Amino acid sequence: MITVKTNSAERLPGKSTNTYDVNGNIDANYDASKLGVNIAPGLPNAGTIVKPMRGLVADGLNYAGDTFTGKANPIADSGRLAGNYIDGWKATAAQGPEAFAKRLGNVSGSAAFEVGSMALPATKLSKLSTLSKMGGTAERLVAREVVVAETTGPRLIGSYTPSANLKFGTTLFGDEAHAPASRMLTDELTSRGVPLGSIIDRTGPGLRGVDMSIDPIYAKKLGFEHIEIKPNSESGLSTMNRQIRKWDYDPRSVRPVTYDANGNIRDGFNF
Amino acid sequence: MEALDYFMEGRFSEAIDAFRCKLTNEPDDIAWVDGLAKSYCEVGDFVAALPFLEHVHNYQKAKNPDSPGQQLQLSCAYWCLDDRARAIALTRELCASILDRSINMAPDQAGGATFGLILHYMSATTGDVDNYEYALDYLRKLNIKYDKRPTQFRYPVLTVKQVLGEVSFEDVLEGVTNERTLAAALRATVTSRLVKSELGIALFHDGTLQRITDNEIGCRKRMSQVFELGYQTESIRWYLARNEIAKFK
Repeated sequence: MITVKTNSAERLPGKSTNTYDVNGNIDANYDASKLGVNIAPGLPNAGTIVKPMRGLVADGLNYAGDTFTGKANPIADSGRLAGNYIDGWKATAAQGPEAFAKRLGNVSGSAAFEVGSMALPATKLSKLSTLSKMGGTAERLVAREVVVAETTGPRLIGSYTPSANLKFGTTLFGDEAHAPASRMLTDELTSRGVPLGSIIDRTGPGLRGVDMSIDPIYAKKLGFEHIEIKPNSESGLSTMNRQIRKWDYDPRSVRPVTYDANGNIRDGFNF
Repeated sequence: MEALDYFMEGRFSEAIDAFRCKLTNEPDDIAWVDGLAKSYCEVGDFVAALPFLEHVHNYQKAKNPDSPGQQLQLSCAYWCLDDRARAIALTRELCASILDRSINMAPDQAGGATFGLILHYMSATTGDVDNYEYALDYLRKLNIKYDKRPTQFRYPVLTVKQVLGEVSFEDVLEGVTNERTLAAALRATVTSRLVKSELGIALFHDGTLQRITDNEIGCRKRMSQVFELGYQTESIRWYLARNEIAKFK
Protein backbone atom coordinates (compact mmCIF):
# COMPACT_ATOMS: atom_id res chain seq x y z
CA MET A 1 0.00 0.00 0.00
CA ILE A 2 1.26 3.42 -0.83
CA THR A 3 1.04 6.19 1.68
CA VAL A 4 1.75 9.66 0.42
CA LYS A 5 1.96 12.44 2.94
CA THR A 6 1.21 15.74 1.35
CA ASN A 7 0.25 18.03 4.19
CA SER A 8 2.69 20.90 4.31
CA ALA A 9 2.95 20.41 8.08
CA GLU A 10 4.58 17.09 7.28
CA ARG A 11 7.04 18.52 4.86
CA LEU A 12 10.59 17.35 4.88
CA PRO A 13 12.79 18.79 7.53
CA GLY A 14 15.60 20.87 6.13
CA LYS A 15 16.59 21.38 2.56
CA SER A 16 16.23 18.76 -0.08
CA THR A 17 19.19 16.86 -1.44
CA ASN A 18 18.27 17.64 -5.00
CA THR A 19 20.97 18.91 -7.28
CA TYR A 20 20.53 21.08 -10.33
CA ASP A 21 22.63 21.04 -13.41
CA VAL A 22 23.45 24.01 -15.59
CA ASN A 23 20.17 23.63 -17.46
CA GLY A 24 18.13 23.69 -14.30
CA ASN A 25 17.32 20.01 -14.46
CA ILE A 26 16.69 18.28 -11.20
CA ASP A 27 18.36 15.07 -10.18
CA ALA A 28 15.99 13.97 -7.48
CA ASN A 29 17.98 11.66 -5.29
CA TYR A 30 15.39 11.20 -2.66
CA ASP A 31 15.15 8.42 -0.26
CA ALA A 32 11.47 7.62 -0.46
CA SER A 33 11.17 7.04 3.25
CA LYS A 34 12.56 10.48 3.96
CA LEU A 35 9.78 11.90 1.86
CA GLY A 36 7.24 10.19 4.04
CA VAL A 37 6.46 7.93 1.10
CA ASN A 38 6.20 4.22 1.71
CA ILE A 39 6.61 2.46 -1.58
CA ALA A 40 4.71 -0.79 -1.71
CA PRO A 41 7.13 -3.74 -1.76
CA GLY A 42 5.73 -4.74 -5.10
CA LEU A 43 6.41 -1.41 -6.69
CA PRO A 44 10.13 -0.85 -6.67
CA ASN A 45 10.11 0.06 -10.31
CA ALA A 46 7.16 2.34 -10.15
CA GLY A 47 8.66 3.90 -7.08
CA THR A 48 11.84 4.60 -8.92
CA ILE A 49 10.05 6.06 -11.85
CA VAL A 50 7.89 8.41 -9.90
CA LYS A 51 10.78 9.40 -7.66
CA PRO A 52 11.58 12.51 -9.71
CA MET A 53 7.94 13.52 -9.44
CA ARG A 54 7.99 12.96 -5.70
CA GLY A 55 11.20 14.88 -5.50
CA LEU A 56 9.39 17.69 -7.23
CA VAL A 57 6.59 17.54 -4.70
CA ALA A 58 8.99 17.69 -1.80
CA ASP A 59 10.97 20.46 -3.41
CA GLY A 60 7.80 22.37 -3.96
CA LEU A 61 6.86 22.00 -0.33
CA ASN A 62 10.28 23.07 0.79
CA TYR A 63 10.34 26.06 -1.48
CA ALA A 64 6.80 26.98 -0.57
CA GLY A 65 8.01 27.63 2.92
CA ASP A 66 10.78 29.79 1.68
CA THR A 67 9.72 33.42 1.69
CA PHE A 68 12.45 34.34 -0.75
CA THR A 69 11.13 32.12 -3.48
CA GLY A 70 7.49 31.60 -2.56
CA LYS A 71 4.90 31.37 -5.25
CA ALA A 72 7.14 33.02 -7.76
CA ASN A 73 9.17 29.88 -7.88
CA PRO A 74 7.67 27.50 -10.43
CA ILE A 75 9.00 24.54 -8.48
CA ALA A 76 6.97 25.58 -5.49
CA ASP A 77 3.80 25.94 -7.48
CA SER A 78 4.15 22.70 -9.32
CA GLY A 79 5.03 21.00 -6.06
CA ARG A 80 1.83 22.23 -4.49
CA LEU A 81 -0.11 21.26 -7.55
CA ALA A 82 1.34 17.76 -7.57
CA GLY A 83 0.59 17.46 -3.88
CA ASN A 84 -3.00 18.49 -4.48
CA TYR A 85 -3.31 15.88 -7.16
CA ILE A 86 -2.06 13.23 -4.78
CA ASP A 87 -4.69 14.23 -2.26
CA GLY A 88 -7.32 14.25 -4.97
CA TRP A 89 -6.43 10.81 -6.16
CA LYS A 90 -6.28 9.45 -2.65
CA ALA A 91 -9.79 10.73 -2.12
CA THR A 92 -10.87 9.00 -5.30
CA ALA A 93 -9.11 5.85 -4.10
CA ALA A 94 -11.31 5.81 -1.05
CA GLN A 95 -14.32 5.51 -3.37
CA GLY A 96 -13.06 2.26 -4.83
CA PRO A 97 -11.54 0.96 -8.07
CA GLU A 98 -14.57 1.87 -10.18
CA ALA A 99 -14.24 5.50 -9.23
CA PHE A 100 -10.60 5.32 -10.16
CA ALA A 101 -11.38 3.82 -13.50
CA LYS A 102 -13.95 6.49 -14.17
CA ARG A 103 -11.62 9.31 -13.24
CA LEU A 104 -8.66 7.96 -15.10
CA GLY A 105 -10.66 7.17 -18.18
CA ASN A 106 -9.63 3.79 -19.35
CA VAL A 107 -7.77 1.94 -16.66
CA SER A 108 -6.96 -1.65 -17.36
CA GLY A 109 -4.57 -4.25 -16.18
CA SER A 110 -1.98 -2.55 -18.31
CA ALA A 111 -1.97 0.43 -16.01
CA ALA A 112 1.02 -1.01 -14.22
CA PHE A 113 2.91 -1.32 -17.45
CA GLU A 114 2.09 2.25 -18.28
CA VAL A 115 3.98 3.38 -15.22
CA GLY A 116 7.04 1.73 -16.65
CA SER A 117 6.52 3.10 -20.09
CA MET A 118 6.27 6.60 -18.71
CA ALA A 119 9.86 6.62 -17.58
CA LEU A 120 10.82 9.22 -20.11
CA PRO A 121 8.02 11.65 -19.36
CA ALA A 122 8.90 11.22 -15.69
CA THR A 123 12.40 12.35 -16.47
CA LYS A 124 11.12 15.23 -18.48
CA LEU A 125 8.94 16.17 -15.58
CA SER A 126 12.01 17.19 -13.70
CA LYS A 127 12.59 19.96 -16.20
CA LEU A 128 11.25 23.32 -15.26
CA SER A 129 8.42 23.43 -17.69
CA THR A 130 5.10 25.21 -17.62
CA LEU A 131 2.94 24.83 -14.57
CA SER A 132 0.02 23.29 -16.34
CA LYS A 133 2.12 20.76 -18.19
CA MET A 134 3.81 19.67 -15.00
CA GLY A 135 0.55 19.39 -13.17
CA GLY A 136 -0.91 17.24 -15.89
CA THR A 137 2.04 14.93 -15.97
CA ALA A 138 2.11 14.69 -12.21
CA GLU A 139 -1.55 13.79 -12.17
CA ARG A 140 -1.13 10.98 -14.63
CA LEU A 141 1.83 9.59 -12.77
CA VAL A 142 0.22 9.72 -9.39
CA ALA A 143 -3.02 8.34 -10.68
CA ARG A 144 -1.40 5.38 -12.30
CA GLU A 145 0.77 4.66 -9.31
CA VAL A 146 -2.17 4.68 -6.96
CA VAL A 147 -4.29 2.64 -9.33
CA VAL A 148 -1.54 0.05 -9.56
CA ALA A 149 -1.20 -0.10 -5.81
CA GLU A 150 -4.90 -0.10 -5.06
CA THR A 151 -6.19 -2.43 -7.68
CA THR A 152 -3.50 -4.72 -8.94
CA GLY A 153 -0.80 -5.13 -6.29
CA PRO A 154 2.69 -5.96 -7.47
CA ARG A 155 2.97 -5.70 -11.21
CA LEU A 156 2.58 -8.98 -13.01
CA ILE A 157 5.39 -9.32 -15.51
CA GLY A 158 4.20 -12.63 -16.91
CA SER A 159 3.42 -16.24 -16.14
CA TYR A 160 4.67 -19.71 -16.97
CA THR A 161 3.46 -23.18 -16.09
CA PRO A 162 5.65 -24.80 -13.44
CA SER A 163 6.42 -28.49 -13.83
CA ALA A 164 3.97 -30.51 -11.78
CA ASN A 165 6.69 -32.55 -10.07
CA LEU A 166 8.52 -29.53 -8.68
CA LYS A 167 7.81 -28.07 -5.28
CA PHE A 168 7.76 -24.32 -4.70
CA GLY A 169 10.71 -23.22 -2.58
CA THR A 170 13.10 -25.90 -3.82
CA THR A 171 16.25 -25.25 -5.83
CA LEU A 172 14.86 -27.10 -8.84
CA PHE A 173 11.70 -25.02 -8.82
CA GLY A 174 13.87 -21.90 -8.62
CA ASP A 175 16.11 -23.05 -11.46
CA GLU A 176 13.07 -23.61 -13.65
CA ALA A 177 11.49 -20.27 -12.71
CA HIS A 178 14.63 -18.28 -13.50
CA ALA A 179 14.59 -19.18 -17.20
CA PRO A 180 11.15 -17.74 -18.09
CA ALA A 181 11.67 -14.85 -15.69
CA SER A 182 14.91 -13.82 -17.33
CA ARG A 183 13.32 -14.15 -20.75
CA MET A 184 10.38 -11.94 -19.75
CA LEU A 185 12.70 -9.40 -18.17
CA THR A 186 14.96 -9.34 -21.21
CA ASP A 187 11.93 -8.74 -23.40
CA GLU A 188 10.80 -5.93 -21.13
CA LEU A 189 14.25 -4.33 -20.93
CA THR A 190 14.79 -4.41 -24.68
CA SER A 191 11.35 -2.88 -25.20
CA ARG A 192 12.53 -0.05 -22.95
CA GLY A 193 15.57 0.55 -25.12
CA VAL A 194 18.23 -1.58 -23.44
CA PRO A 195 20.12 -3.53 -26.11
CA LEU A 196 20.73 -7.24 -25.61
CA GLY A 197 24.47 -6.75 -25.24
CA SER A 198 23.92 -4.46 -22.27
CA ILE A 199 21.90 -7.05 -20.36
CA ILE A 200 24.24 -9.41 -18.58
CA ASP A 201 22.59 -12.61 -17.43
CA ARG A 202 23.54 -14.98 -14.66
CA THR A 203 20.31 -16.93 -14.29
CA GLY A 204 21.73 -20.25 -15.40
CA PRO A 205 21.48 -23.20 -13.04
CA GLY A 206 24.05 -23.25 -10.26
CA LEU A 207 25.48 -19.80 -10.96
CA ARG A 208 26.09 -17.59 -7.94
CA GLY A 209 25.65 -13.84 -7.72
CA VAL A 210 23.04 -11.32 -8.78
CA ASP A 211 20.82 -12.63 -11.56
CA MET A 212 20.97 -9.82 -14.09
CA SER A 213 22.88 -6.57 -14.51
CA ILE A 214 22.60 -3.77 -17.02
CA ASP A 215 25.21 -1.35 -18.26
CA PRO A 216 25.55 1.93 -16.34
CA ILE A 217 24.01 4.25 -18.90
CA TYR A 218 20.78 2.24 -18.95
CA ALA A 219 20.88 1.85 -15.18
CA LYS A 220 20.83 5.63 -15.04
CA LYS A 221 17.71 5.70 -17.19
CA LEU A 222 15.84 2.89 -15.47
CA GLY A 223 16.85 3.54 -11.87
CA PHE A 224 18.31 0.11 -11.14
CA GLU A 225 21.52 -1.64 -12.08
CA HIS A 226 20.71 -5.22 -11.08
CA ILE A 227 17.76 -7.59 -10.99
CA GLU A 228 17.46 -10.37 -8.44
CA ILE A 229 14.84 -13.09 -8.91
CA LYS A 230 13.54 -14.75 -5.76
CA PRO A 231 10.60 -16.86 -4.55
CA ASN A 232 7.78 -14.67 -3.31
CA SER A 233 8.20 -15.63 0.32
CA GLU A 234 9.60 -14.31 3.55
CA SER A 235 12.68 -16.47 3.18
CA GLY A 236 13.10 -15.23 -0.40
CA LEU A 237 13.07 -11.63 0.83
CA SER A 238 15.45 -12.27 3.72
CA THR A 239 17.83 -14.20 1.45
CA MET A 240 17.82 -11.38 -1.06
CA ASN A 241 18.50 -8.77 1.60
CA ARG A 242 21.34 -10.85 3.01
CA GLN A 243 22.85 -11.30 -0.46
CA ILE A 244 22.63 -7.61 -1.27
CA ARG A 245 24.58 -6.86 1.91
CA LYS A 246 27.09 -9.56 1.07
CA TRP A 247 27.58 -8.22 -2.45
CA ASP A 248 27.91 -4.73 -1.02
CA TYR A 249 25.32 -3.34 -3.41
CA ASP A 250 23.25 -0.27 -2.80
CA PRO A 251 19.80 -1.82 -2.15
CA ARG A 252 18.23 0.87 -4.31
CA SER A 253 20.23 -0.38 -7.27
CA VAL A 254 18.59 -3.82 -7.14
CA ARG A 255 15.17 -4.46 -8.64
CA PRO A 256 13.54 -7.44 -6.89
CA VAL A 257 11.48 -9.77 -9.07
CA THR A 258 9.59 -12.71 -7.62
CA TYR A 259 7.96 -15.95 -8.73
CA ASP A 260 5.22 -17.79 -6.92
CA ALA A 261 3.97 -21.38 -6.75
CA ASN A 262 1.63 -20.77 -9.69
CA GLY A 263 4.35 -19.48 -12.00
CA ASN A 264 3.50 -15.79 -11.74
CA ILE A 265 6.47 -13.49 -12.20
CA ARG A 266 6.02 -10.14 -10.50
CA ASP A 267 7.90 -7.01 -9.58
CA GLY A 268 8.70 -7.14 -5.89
CA PHE A 269 7.43 -9.13 -2.94
CA ASN A 270 3.82 -9.54 -1.87
CA PHE A 271 3.46 -12.49 0.51
CA MET B 1 17.43 17.47 -24.68
CA GLU B 2 19.39 15.32 -22.27
CA ALA B 3 22.40 13.32 -23.40
CA LEU B 4 20.50 10.15 -22.70
CA ASP B 5 17.57 11.29 -24.82
CA TYR B 6 19.85 11.91 -27.78
CA PHE B 7 21.44 8.53 -27.27
CA MET B 8 18.16 6.64 -27.01
CA GLU B 9 16.89 8.37 -30.15
CA GLY B 10 19.96 7.33 -32.09
CA ARG B 11 21.30 10.91 -32.42
CA PHE B 12 24.78 9.78 -31.50
CA SER B 13 26.84 12.77 -32.62
CA GLU B 14 24.69 15.04 -30.48
CA ALA B 15 24.84 12.47 -27.67
CA ILE B 16 28.65 12.59 -27.77
CA ASP B 17 28.64 16.36 -27.26
CA ALA B 18 26.06 16.11 -24.51
CA PHE B 19 27.83 13.26 -22.70
CA ARG B 20 31.11 15.15 -22.84
CA CYS B 21 29.38 18.12 -21.26
CA LYS B 22 27.92 15.83 -18.56
CA LEU B 23 31.33 14.37 -17.88
CA THR B 24 32.84 17.81 -17.48
CA ASN B 25 30.34 18.51 -14.72
CA GLU B 26 30.26 15.01 -13.22
CA PRO B 27 33.55 13.33 -14.10
CA ASP B 28 33.01 10.44 -11.68
CA ASP B 29 29.62 9.39 -13.00
CA ILE B 30 30.15 6.03 -14.68
CA ALA B 31 26.88 6.33 -16.59
CA TRP B 32 28.21 9.28 -18.60
CA VAL B 33 31.44 7.40 -19.30
CA ASP B 34 29.41 4.43 -20.52
CA GLY B 35 27.16 6.66 -22.58
CA LEU B 36 30.13 8.29 -24.24
CA ALA B 37 31.80 4.92 -24.93
CA LYS B 38 28.65 3.56 -26.50
CA SER B 39 28.03 6.71 -28.53
CA TYR B 40 31.53 6.56 -29.98
CA CYS B 41 30.99 2.89 -30.86
CA GLU B 42 27.71 3.75 -32.53
CA VAL B 43 29.35 6.33 -34.80
CA GLY B 44 32.23 3.94 -35.48
CA ASP B 45 34.92 5.98 -33.70
CA PHE B 46 36.48 3.04 -31.88
CA VAL B 47 39.76 4.85 -31.23
CA ALA B 48 37.87 7.40 -29.15
CA ALA B 49 35.72 4.68 -27.59
CA LEU B 50 38.55 2.49 -26.30
CA PRO B 51 39.63 4.44 -23.18
CA PHE B 52 36.03 4.87 -22.10
CA LEU B 53 35.24 1.19 -22.71
CA GLU B 54 38.28 0.31 -20.58
CA HIS B 55 37.05 2.61 -17.83
CA VAL B 56 33.60 0.98 -17.75
CA HIS B 57 35.16 -2.48 -18.00
CA ASN B 58 37.34 -1.84 -14.95
CA TYR B 59 34.37 -0.47 -13.04
CA GLN B 60 32.24 -3.51 -13.79
CA LYS B 61 35.02 -6.01 -13.05
CA ALA B 62 35.68 -4.30 -9.72
CA LYS B 63 32.02 -4.63 -8.77
CA ASN B 64 31.52 -8.12 -10.22
CA PRO B 65 34.79 -9.96 -10.80
CA ASP B 66 32.94 -12.77 -12.55
CA SER B 67 31.31 -10.39 -15.03
CA PRO B 68 32.62 -10.13 -18.61
CA GLY B 69 32.61 -6.36 -18.19
CA GLN B 70 33.11 -4.72 -21.58
CA GLN B 71 35.59 -7.28 -22.86
CA LEU B 72 33.43 -8.29 -25.81
CA GLN B 73 32.90 -4.64 -26.74
CA LEU B 74 36.67 -4.09 -26.48
CA SER B 75 37.25 -7.11 -28.67
CA CYS B 76 34.80 -5.75 -31.23
CA ALA B 77 36.50 -2.35 -31.14
CA TYR B 78 39.92 -3.89 -31.77
CA TRP B 79 38.43 -5.99 -34.57
CA CYS B 80 37.02 -2.94 -36.28
CA LEU B 81 40.40 -1.24 -35.87
CA ASP B 82 41.96 -4.22 -37.67
CA ASP B 83 43.81 -5.46 -34.59
CA ARG B 84 42.34 -8.88 -35.23
CA ALA B 85 44.82 -10.91 -33.21
CA ARG B 86 43.98 -8.95 -30.08
CA ALA B 87 40.26 -9.18 -30.79
CA ILE B 88 40.46 -12.95 -31.14
CA ALA B 89 42.59 -13.30 -28.01
CA LEU B 90 40.11 -11.27 -25.95
CA THR B 91 37.15 -13.28 -27.23
CA ARG B 92 38.85 -16.60 -26.70
CA GLU B 93 39.70 -15.52 -23.16
CA LEU B 94 35.99 -14.92 -22.57
CA CYS B 95 35.20 -18.47 -23.75
CA ALA B 96 37.93 -19.94 -21.56
CA SER B 97 36.65 -17.95 -18.58
CA ILE B 98 33.16 -19.35 -19.07
CA LEU B 99 34.55 -22.88 -19.18
CA ASP B 100 36.66 -22.47 -16.04
CA ARG B 101 33.81 -20.53 -14.41
CA SER B 102 35.85 -17.45 -13.64
CA ILE B 103 33.11 -15.65 -15.60
CA ASN B 104 29.56 -16.56 -14.64
CA MET B 105 27.63 -13.89 -16.53
CA ALA B 106 27.06 -13.46 -20.25
CA PRO B 107 25.06 -11.21 -22.56
CA ASP B 108 22.68 -14.07 -23.36
CA GLN B 109 20.55 -16.74 -21.71
CA ALA B 110 22.49 -19.50 -23.37
CA GLY B 111 25.39 -19.91 -21.00
CA GLY B 112 27.79 -17.64 -22.88
CA ALA B 113 27.02 -18.75 -26.45
CA THR B 114 27.61 -15.18 -27.60
CA PHE B 115 31.34 -15.44 -26.92
CA GLY B 116 31.69 -18.70 -28.83
CA LEU B 117 29.67 -17.43 -31.77
CA ILE B 118 31.74 -14.26 -32.06
CA LEU B 119 34.96 -16.27 -31.85
CA HIS B 120 33.53 -18.56 -34.53
CA TYR B 121 32.92 -15.55 -36.78
CA MET B 122 36.33 -13.97 -36.15
CA SER B 123 38.29 -17.17 -36.62
CA ALA B 124 36.34 -18.14 -39.73
CA THR B 125 36.91 -14.70 -41.22
CA THR B 126 40.65 -14.73 -40.58
CA GLY B 127 41.13 -18.40 -41.43
CA ASP B 128 42.46 -19.08 -37.94
CA VAL B 129 42.02 -22.84 -37.75
CA ASP B 130 43.11 -23.27 -34.13
CA ASN B 131 40.60 -20.74 -32.82
CA TYR B 132 37.95 -21.96 -35.22
CA GLU B 133 38.24 -25.47 -33.79
CA TYR B 134 38.30 -24.05 -30.27
CA ALA B 135 35.09 -22.12 -30.96
CA LEU B 136 33.35 -25.20 -32.32
CA ASP B 137 34.50 -27.25 -29.34
CA TYR B 138 33.22 -24.54 -26.99
CA LEU B 139 29.84 -24.47 -28.72
CA ARG B 140 29.62 -28.28 -28.60
CA LYS B 141 30.17 -28.20 -24.84
CA LEU B 142 27.37 -25.67 -24.46
CA ASN B 143 25.16 -27.77 -26.70
CA ILE B 144 25.51 -30.72 -24.36
CA LYS B 145 24.12 -28.53 -21.57
CA TYR B 146 21.27 -27.40 -23.83
CA ASP B 147 20.29 -30.97 -24.54
CA LYS B 148 20.45 -31.95 -20.89
CA ARG B 149 18.27 -29.06 -19.69
CA PRO B 150 16.32 -27.80 -22.70
CA THR B 151 14.02 -25.50 -20.72
CA GLN B 152 16.86 -23.68 -18.98
CA PHE B 153 18.40 -21.95 -21.96
CA ARG B 154 17.14 -19.53 -24.60
CA TYR B 155 18.21 -18.01 -27.87
CA PRO B 156 20.89 -18.05 -29.31
CA VAL B 157 20.71 -21.78 -28.55
CA LEU B 158 19.20 -22.35 -32.00
CA THR B 159 21.99 -20.48 -33.76
CA VAL B 160 24.53 -22.59 -31.89
CA LYS B 161 22.67 -25.65 -33.14
CA GLN B 162 22.70 -24.24 -36.67
CA VAL B 163 26.46 -23.70 -36.49
CA LEU B 164 26.81 -27.30 -35.32
CA GLY B 165 24.65 -28.49 -38.22
CA GLU B 166 21.69 -29.67 -36.18
CA VAL B 167 19.06 -27.24 -37.47
CA SER B 168 18.50 -25.10 -40.57
CA PHE B 169 18.42 -21.32 -40.90
CA GLU B 170 14.66 -21.54 -41.37
CA ASP B 171 14.40 -23.38 -38.06
CA VAL B 172 16.30 -20.54 -36.42
CA LEU B 173 14.03 -17.96 -38.06
CA GLU B 174 10.99 -19.80 -36.79
CA GLY B 175 12.44 -20.03 -33.30
CA VAL B 176 13.16 -16.31 -33.20
CA THR B 177 10.18 -14.87 -35.05
CA ASN B 178 7.65 -17.71 -35.51
CA GLU B 179 8.13 -17.25 -39.25
CA ARG B 180 10.03 -19.42 -41.71
CA THR B 181 10.65 -16.81 -44.41
CA LEU B 182 12.91 -13.81 -44.04
CA ALA B 183 10.31 -11.41 -45.40
CA ALA B 184 7.82 -12.45 -42.75
CA ALA B 185 10.52 -12.51 -40.09
CA LEU B 186 11.47 -8.93 -40.90
CA ARG B 187 7.86 -7.87 -40.45
CA ALA B 188 7.92 -9.44 -36.99
CA THR B 189 10.74 -7.13 -35.93
CA VAL B 190 8.46 -4.11 -36.08
CA THR B 191 6.74 -4.92 -32.82
CA SER B 192 9.62 -6.20 -30.74
CA ARG B 193 13.14 -4.95 -30.26
CA LEU B 194 14.09 -8.31 -28.78
CA VAL B 195 13.00 -10.03 -31.99
CA LYS B 196 14.93 -7.43 -34.00
CA SER B 197 18.02 -8.12 -31.91
CA GLU B 198 17.73 -11.87 -32.19
CA LEU B 199 17.04 -11.74 -35.91
CA GLY B 200 20.19 -9.67 -36.33
CA ILE B 201 22.15 -12.38 -34.52
CA ALA B 202 20.56 -15.11 -36.62
CA LEU B 203 21.32 -13.33 -39.89
CA PHE B 204 24.86 -12.48 -38.88
CA HIS B 205 25.85 -16.03 -38.03
CA ASP B 206 24.09 -17.45 -41.06
CA GLY B 207 26.32 -15.06 -42.99
CA THR B 208 29.35 -16.52 -41.24
CA LEU B 209 28.25 -20.02 -42.22
CA GLN B 210 27.91 -18.90 -45.84
CA ARG B 211 31.44 -17.51 -45.69
CA ILE B 212 32.70 -20.88 -44.45
CA THR B 213 31.16 -22.55 -47.51
CA ASP B 214 32.86 -19.98 -49.75
CA ASN B 215 29.58 -18.24 -50.52
CA GLU B 216 30.97 -14.75 -49.97
CA ILE B 217 28.15 -13.11 -51.89
CA GLY B 218 25.64 -14.78 -49.60
CA CYS B 219 27.66 -13.68 -46.58
CA ARG B 220 27.71 -10.06 -47.73
CA LYS B 221 24.00 -10.17 -48.36
CA ARG B 222 23.43 -11.31 -44.79
CA MET B 223 25.76 -8.64 -43.39
CA SER B 224 23.86 -6.00 -45.36
CA GLN B 225 20.60 -7.34 -43.95
CA VAL B 226 21.97 -7.08 -40.41
CA PHE B 227 23.13 -3.53 -41.06
CA GLU B 228 19.77 -2.57 -42.51
CA LEU B 229 18.05 -3.64 -39.29
CA GLY B 230 19.64 -0.52 -37.84
CA TYR B 231 21.37 0.25 -34.58
CA GLN B 232 18.46 -1.15 -32.61
CA THR B 233 19.42 -4.68 -33.49
CA GLU B 234 22.06 -6.43 -31.37
CA SER B 235 24.87 -3.90 -31.20
CA ILE B 236 28.00 -6.09 -31.47
CA ARG B 237 26.72 -7.82 -34.62
CA TRP B 238 25.61 -4.47 -36.00
CA TYR B 239 29.08 -2.96 -35.54
CA LEU B 240 30.69 -6.02 -37.08
CA ALA B 241 28.25 -6.03 -40.01
CA ARG B 242 28.86 -2.33 -40.59
CA ASN B 243 32.58 -3.03 -40.57
CA GLU B 244 32.05 -5.79 -43.14
CA ILE B 245 30.11 -3.44 -45.38
CA ALA B 246 32.85 -0.81 -45.11
CA LYS B 247 35.31 -3.47 -46.26
CA PHE B 248 33.13 -4.36 -49.27
CA LYS B 249 33.27 -0.79 -50.43
